[in-house]
Amino acid sequence: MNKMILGRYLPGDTWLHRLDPRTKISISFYFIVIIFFANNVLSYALLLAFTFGVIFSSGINQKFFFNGVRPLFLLILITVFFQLFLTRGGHIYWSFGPFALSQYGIRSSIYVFLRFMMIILMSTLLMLTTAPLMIADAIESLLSPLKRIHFPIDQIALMISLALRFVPTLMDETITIMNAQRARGVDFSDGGLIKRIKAMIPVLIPLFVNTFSRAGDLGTAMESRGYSGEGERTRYRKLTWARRDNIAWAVMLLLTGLLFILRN
Amino acid sequence: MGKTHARDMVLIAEFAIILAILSQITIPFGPVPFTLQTFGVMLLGSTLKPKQSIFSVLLYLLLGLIGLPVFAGGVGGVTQFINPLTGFLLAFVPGAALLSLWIQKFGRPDKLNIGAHLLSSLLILLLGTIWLKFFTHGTWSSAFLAAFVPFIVPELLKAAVASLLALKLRPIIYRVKAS
Repeated sequence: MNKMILGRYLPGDTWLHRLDPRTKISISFYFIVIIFFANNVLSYALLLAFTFGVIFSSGINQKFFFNGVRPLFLLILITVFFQLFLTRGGHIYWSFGPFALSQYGIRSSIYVFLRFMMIILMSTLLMLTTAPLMIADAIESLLSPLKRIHFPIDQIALMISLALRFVPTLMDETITIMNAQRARGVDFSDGGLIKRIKAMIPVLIPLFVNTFSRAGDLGTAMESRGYSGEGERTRYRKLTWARRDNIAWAVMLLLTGLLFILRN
Repeated sequence: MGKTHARDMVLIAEFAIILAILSQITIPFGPVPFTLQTFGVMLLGSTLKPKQSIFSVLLYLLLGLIGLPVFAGGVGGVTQFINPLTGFLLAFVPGAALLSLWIQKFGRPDKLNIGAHLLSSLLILLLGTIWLKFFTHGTWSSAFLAAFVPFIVPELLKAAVASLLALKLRPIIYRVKAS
């Protein structure tokens, strides 16, 4: 249950944990963009060296990290497979029906693989070192200019916090209802497909009813305390931009400069 | 979204989490174990108001994007949004929207509305397949063989059961809301 609140967050105190979540999110997106500028062996080598440099210097548990990302690689392999056999061009080594193994196919599938690998490694590192609530705060802060065009970013941030707060409540409630129905003789693990889905009916009815009545109560409570969704909110957790965030961005700009020297 | 009442915001947040919990419930069925994820999307679509269901599904996707393991199989994160199967996740939004708009406009809450449920599950499958085709630069036939054909029967079956369940849930929900 805690797994769902924390996501894949690993509490810790490494330099990556201490960076402002806004820095981490903006740098991750920036990195994903510059990956697409790499176009030869040297530029890919530079980005790979940077990615692994960040991972090894971050001080997070390497074994845990690489075990965690392994299942994600299966998905990339599917993409690479399509890229490999469906792209044509250059020398063709082998072909069968719509499938062909060509020079361009091999090259582009290696590049696609590296690109996805770096994106996965970097975004996993972001998730592991930043708590979901901090990511939500950072997204709210980064998207706050959208308030000018009346995009309800405050309300979205509040809904994220509400949702995170309701994870344990709803998990407990689902488990309690399932146990209560088991005690009345409902069997969730027997019978065919339709029978098993039908066994969910006595779980979902109380769950939905409770949800509606709780939403009414909490909504009334919020409005009676003056919540309107329009005023400026003050906050308990404040994000602070420190010198290390400037340094992180300076490193990124340096990396971009090097990348443009190495690419052709 | 305009001004949203506090009650609606709480409801949207709660149902996003209910969808996350349903996605984690697996029913082993033949060779493919299937989850209640699309089933949950359809239940939300057919029991909530259009605005509530659309924002619940959007919030669910957003929670997944910020790294919570809310999707089927306990996964989440940016990488779920850049892979060949992302189209299915994104299709949940129009899928739920179609269903709740249909039921609000033409449907009768006391009827099965089975057509709307079947159409919604077809829409999710179709949009997911289209994404797969363009993402992998493959051919239409290979995309359909990989992502559409094997799932058509279980998905339509799920849609039918969802319409049955929603029929039972709807009057109870209206009663709670009225009280």
